[in-house]
Amino acid sequence: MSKSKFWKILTITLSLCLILGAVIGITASASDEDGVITFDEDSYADYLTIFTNANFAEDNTWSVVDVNGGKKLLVNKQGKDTSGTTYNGGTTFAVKPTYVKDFANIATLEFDFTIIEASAYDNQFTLQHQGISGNNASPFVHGFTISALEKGVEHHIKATYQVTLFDLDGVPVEYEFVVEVDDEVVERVNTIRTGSTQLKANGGLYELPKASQVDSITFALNNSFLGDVYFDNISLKLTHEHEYSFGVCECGAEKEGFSPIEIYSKNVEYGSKTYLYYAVPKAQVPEADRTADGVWLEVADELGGEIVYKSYPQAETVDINGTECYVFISRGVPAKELNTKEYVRVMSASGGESRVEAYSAEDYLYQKLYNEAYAAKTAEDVGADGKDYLRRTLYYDLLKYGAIAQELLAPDAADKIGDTVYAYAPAAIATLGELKAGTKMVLRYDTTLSDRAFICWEYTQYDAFGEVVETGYAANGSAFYADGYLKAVPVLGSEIEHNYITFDDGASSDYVKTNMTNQKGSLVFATAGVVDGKWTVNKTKTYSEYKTAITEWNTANPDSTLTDPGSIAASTNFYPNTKVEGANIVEFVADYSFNSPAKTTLEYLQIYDTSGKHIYRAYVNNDSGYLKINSEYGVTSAGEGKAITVGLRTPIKTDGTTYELKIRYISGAAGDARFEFYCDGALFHTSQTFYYQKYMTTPPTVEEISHFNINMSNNPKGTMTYDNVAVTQVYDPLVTEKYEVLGGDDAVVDFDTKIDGYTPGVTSPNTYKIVTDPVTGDSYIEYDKTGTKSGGWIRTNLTEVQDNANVAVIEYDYYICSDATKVDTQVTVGYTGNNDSSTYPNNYTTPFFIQPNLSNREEWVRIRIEYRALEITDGKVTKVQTDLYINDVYQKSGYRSGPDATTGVFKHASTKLEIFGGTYPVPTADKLTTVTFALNQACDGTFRYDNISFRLIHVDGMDPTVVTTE
Amino acid sequence: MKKSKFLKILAPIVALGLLIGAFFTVSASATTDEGAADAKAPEIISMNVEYGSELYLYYAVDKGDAEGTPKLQVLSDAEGTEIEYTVTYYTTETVHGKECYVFKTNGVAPKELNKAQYVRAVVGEEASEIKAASVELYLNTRLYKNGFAAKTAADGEDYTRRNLYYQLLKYGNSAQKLLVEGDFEAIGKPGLYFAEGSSELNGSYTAGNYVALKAAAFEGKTFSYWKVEEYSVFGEAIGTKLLGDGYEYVLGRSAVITPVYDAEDTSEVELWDENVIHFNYLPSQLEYGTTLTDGTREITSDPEDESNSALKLIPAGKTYAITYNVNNATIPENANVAVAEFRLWYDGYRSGANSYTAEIYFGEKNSTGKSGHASFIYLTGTQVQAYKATSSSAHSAAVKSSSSALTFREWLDIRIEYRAIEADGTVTPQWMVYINDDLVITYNGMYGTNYQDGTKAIPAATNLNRFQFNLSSSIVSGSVYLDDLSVYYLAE
Repeated sequence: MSKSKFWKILTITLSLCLILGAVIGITASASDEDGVITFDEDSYADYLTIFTNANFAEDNTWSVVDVNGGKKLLVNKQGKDTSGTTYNGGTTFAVKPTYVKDFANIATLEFDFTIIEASAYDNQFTLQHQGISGNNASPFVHGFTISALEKGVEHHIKATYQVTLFDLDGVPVEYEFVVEVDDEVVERVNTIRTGSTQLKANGGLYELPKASQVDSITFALNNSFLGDVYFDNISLKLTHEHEYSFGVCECGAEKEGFSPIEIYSKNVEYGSKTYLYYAVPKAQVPEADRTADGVWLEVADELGGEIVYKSYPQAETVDINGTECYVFISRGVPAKELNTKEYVRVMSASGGESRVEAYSAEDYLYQKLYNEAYAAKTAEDVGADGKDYLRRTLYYDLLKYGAIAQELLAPDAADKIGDTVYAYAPAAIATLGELKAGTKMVLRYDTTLSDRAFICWEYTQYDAFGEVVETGYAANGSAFYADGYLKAVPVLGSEIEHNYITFDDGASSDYVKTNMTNQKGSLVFATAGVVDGKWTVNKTKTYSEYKTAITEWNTANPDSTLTDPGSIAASTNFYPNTKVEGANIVEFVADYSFNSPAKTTLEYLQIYDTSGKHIYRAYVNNDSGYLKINSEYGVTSAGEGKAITVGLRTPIKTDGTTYELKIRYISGAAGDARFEFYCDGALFHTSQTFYYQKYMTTPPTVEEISHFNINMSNNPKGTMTYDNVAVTQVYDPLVTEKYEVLGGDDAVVDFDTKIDGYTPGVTSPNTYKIVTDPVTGDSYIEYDKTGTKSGGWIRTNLTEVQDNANVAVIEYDYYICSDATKVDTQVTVGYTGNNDSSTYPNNYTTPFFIQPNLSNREEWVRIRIEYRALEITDGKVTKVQTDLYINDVYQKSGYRSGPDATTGVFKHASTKLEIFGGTYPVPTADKLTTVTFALNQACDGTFRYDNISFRLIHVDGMDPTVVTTE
Repeated sequence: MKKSKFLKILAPIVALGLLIGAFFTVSASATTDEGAADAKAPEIISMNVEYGSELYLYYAVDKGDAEGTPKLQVLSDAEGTEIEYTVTYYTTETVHGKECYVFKTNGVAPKELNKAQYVRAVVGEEASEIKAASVELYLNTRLYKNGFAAKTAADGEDYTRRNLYYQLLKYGNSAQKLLVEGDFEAIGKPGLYFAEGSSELNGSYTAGNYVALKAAAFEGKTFSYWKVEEYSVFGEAIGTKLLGDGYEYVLGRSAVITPVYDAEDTSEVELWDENVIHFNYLPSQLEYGTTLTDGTREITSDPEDESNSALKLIPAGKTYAITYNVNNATIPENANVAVAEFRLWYDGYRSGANSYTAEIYFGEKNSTGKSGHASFIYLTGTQVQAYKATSSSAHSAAVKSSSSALTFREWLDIRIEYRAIEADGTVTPQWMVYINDDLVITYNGMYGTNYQDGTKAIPAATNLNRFQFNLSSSIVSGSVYLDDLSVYYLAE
């Protein structure tokens, strides 16, 4: 065959484009019964879309013509439009499935193709990668090239796509693509699995599609092709052939003779190699196969790989937990390969078959350690045979031996022994259990298990080899990331003796005293029916003495309060009624409510020292239906008040709901001493603000605390009640752990102990919800952004601001659920609510944003973003840097509209940002106020966020360089 | 150091690929060819261990003058009583410049790392000596002879090898504890590695033995001390000691021993006192009681410090005596105070009659028995008591008792001082007993009736040259430990 007879190069590239949204179950058919587009009927347009450039007249590009009594698609691609202008645009064809069989697993594209005429130079014929309907995000699966098609001859082209291997979770990992020209295979491609089950296409990551998910195939005449061609008999058929997995096809068909076998148990022999044992119940093996070679174990090095080892059962069956089992011994593994998985399956001659399992000696050892809790064994834990602790030791020693052998003999191994970490914590008290690597676990104490007061968790963290790496104490609700064995023991205090004042008898108390001045209201005992205790005072009467026993302070006197708002004031002192020698904490507890619609100052919360000075003072007001605490601190020469810190809205509603309020003062050194506020047992605020100045540097001791005080201001409106009050000294040796300001629970929205401080947003029907993991007890926020729902967001204001802040730090945990097919989330910052809206836009958007579009699935990922100004020139920020860390590992700096991808500097190095049509100065970090985590429209799937913080911190040496030009 | 106390070490070093085998223990020899006296028989010249893919032992055989088919026999014992199996497959390698047959024996389970494998090479009709090897032996050789025990992180891959050797021993030890029933010799033995500049041999030592640290002379350098970095038998750091030259270092742990020269600060160096019996071994200068059955005394680890050795006396219902007769030549002139010092640790005592724990005599070498003992001090369960004899067969009740209680299960420092105080022509004996430096008894009498009635003169302090420690016959259980015994004299 002379080469001159053929086009020098005739190239056809075929792409399979996936429009996600499976078409399983569709039983469409094309223009004829066989699902083939013959062009004899107009209905071909239902299945075939032809894209041409608008510069071409239709009759100059394609038409359906009669050829030898039948119809074909004629495409004229001449390279010039009707005005004679040269044009190089291609022509693209997109075919929808013309025939779909239920449970389709083979996609076959076929067409007849004839080159009628073409110029010598227009010799390329290329199929484009774009999908139908202009959806350029569709993944390009595979392209192929066909060359040397003879001109003037009708060729039959056929391309078949089929997933040939699924992983153990049923996700496609390998496929085969076969191209035939005139029944001759010209290309057969079996993909090489790269470890990823996703395809990269047009900047996105997409799951490798099953054949049933193929929604269209596109092909095209290349730009430079000039000539006339016929297409005919085009079809895209999604058909089905039985593919058995564990004896059953997806369509439900069962493999003939199939008999399921379960790998029932596994074991390890500590020999010259480490040998894995597999046991299957004898009863599951077909009776005819219960012979020396009728059932066997197959071992492969990779999923779908060749069988590299085959063994037959040991001569003697073994009783495992009352089940008679055949035992197979796999090939041994050397120490350096303890973590190398082998893919095993048990088969029998007449159709018995187990599922394929991937397993390693490391899996066995960690399962023993963590699933069976051997990690928790101590020398005192001897077990039934006296050897439990010896087992723990052996498991860890073998793992460490393997890790060192690997370090020496296989230092380049991609997966390190010990890197596959599991974590386990005893579930007896905490709501913990088996956990996998990277999983966050939350220590949560079950208070029903003991009458003793929970103080904290005492924990020990071990590395993958059982070595202690850290010990410490952690508060309830603390989260740990699985990184080995975590042993957590609740530390329970001696029971705190609360001497509750119940007021049930209306009796006075030496520990509760009320001072009323200019009262106009009533003071009553709460006991039902007790009216004798009611004190009614009038406007003119002034009390300077302390009265006893207040339970309800009703300031809503109907007759004159509203008209004389300045006339009421009352102060109630609560004295410690339980004292403990050596105590380091004083706590005030009460069943507390406030019912007031007023938006004014309601009361003062105060703590006095024995000299009458304020240790703590805050005014409390009504903030949109919630109590808000506004701590004050001393700045005057007298040493007391008052500057006011940023107020904290509490979980306490001002609608009369009764809460268990607890205020603790925890003594300690300056920087450690603190006040903690609890509502119904949950810590909602920690303050280190002292009103009397000297306590800022010398915090008071417990003995210096005289009493707690609630002081009604003189113009409130509403009813405040408290009952079951106790002021108790507590000795807790563990609580004096140094208080970490940065990173404290108060600065993290964790959806557990701190559930406020964020604003979720959605556009219906997108939804979000707070979800609590039933295993770990950890709560997080979850967005359902499946399908084509509109975007959503979660917005958080600053959770912590340090003086002279120069770095903005955003941290959050991020989890992409397995259903996510498109990930398009971003993080933006803005200036909402800032005090300089004339300079900075009061807007949620943004001087920078980052799109950490990870491929990780079903794995919590910790993301940290840092933003800071690098350079200020003549008072304007001219360089900034944005750094991205994932799981504490630096990733990159900067990006779109913001820092350049490589330099970390804003692309424009501008002093202005364009935001929503306006220009604004590039901000320093301390100007930022709001962070928004957005799920863009393109997202498809379920996404989770947790432990969000947005801090402005000061880091030495991070101040921007200041430049002054001439 | 006595060589006989240590393992014989033969040290041909052979490289096989990446692994280097180092030594053998020789257990027996045999030949199957009586008529080939002049011909060189086959010889197993090297052993090696593979741990990369599987644990097993290699042997390299120099065929000598023998001709014929080579094979390696794995034998049941050092005598070669039975052939367990024969290895016929071999490769050839150049080892020590010789063309050798290399045999690989069966794999070794971790629990049997220290199980000796007895092998004999046969080439044609000629057989080699039987040699023994084990993985543990190989690992200890690498650690303590080839110096891997001394590797640090700065040594890179060698340090990883060190850790691998130790971790394999540890893994084997764990497997052995879990999987081997009954008594067994534990995998993991202490060894000493002497760094450059030492005069000692390197290699494994037998636990409980000692080695006298002797520094090599270096011109222009002054020896300062021995730095002894102690490790567990699995290479975990325990601590560092600075010991003086001549120190009898007892092998309880593994150690890397480095001579240090020209050190500026030697204030923390622990010196060796040759006049103190440290019970690193059963010293010949002591006489031991003969009334007891065997096995009631041994040199063993200090109950509180595994690295220290002590004399352990195991009560067996009979009094047990240790007698220390001091060489008079060691007594300085003008001395006037005799001191007996020792450390004592015991479990407790039996209450009731004869409830004492031990009796201590300190007196003249040739004056024993109830008439001639100079002192007789009881250690009861709770007191120190002094007695005096009332006849040749009896003594009185305690004439002096300490008020302080003795404590069990901790070391007690006991010191007995004797002075003969002369005043106005009268010599008065004075016994002072100290427990942990607290004076608990002062007694001015003599135990023996001959001293009491004047038959014998009150002896000068320098005459007290016999110290005896008796275990009470009433002790039927528990353990008594003695350590650091010395008798010396002071001039006041």
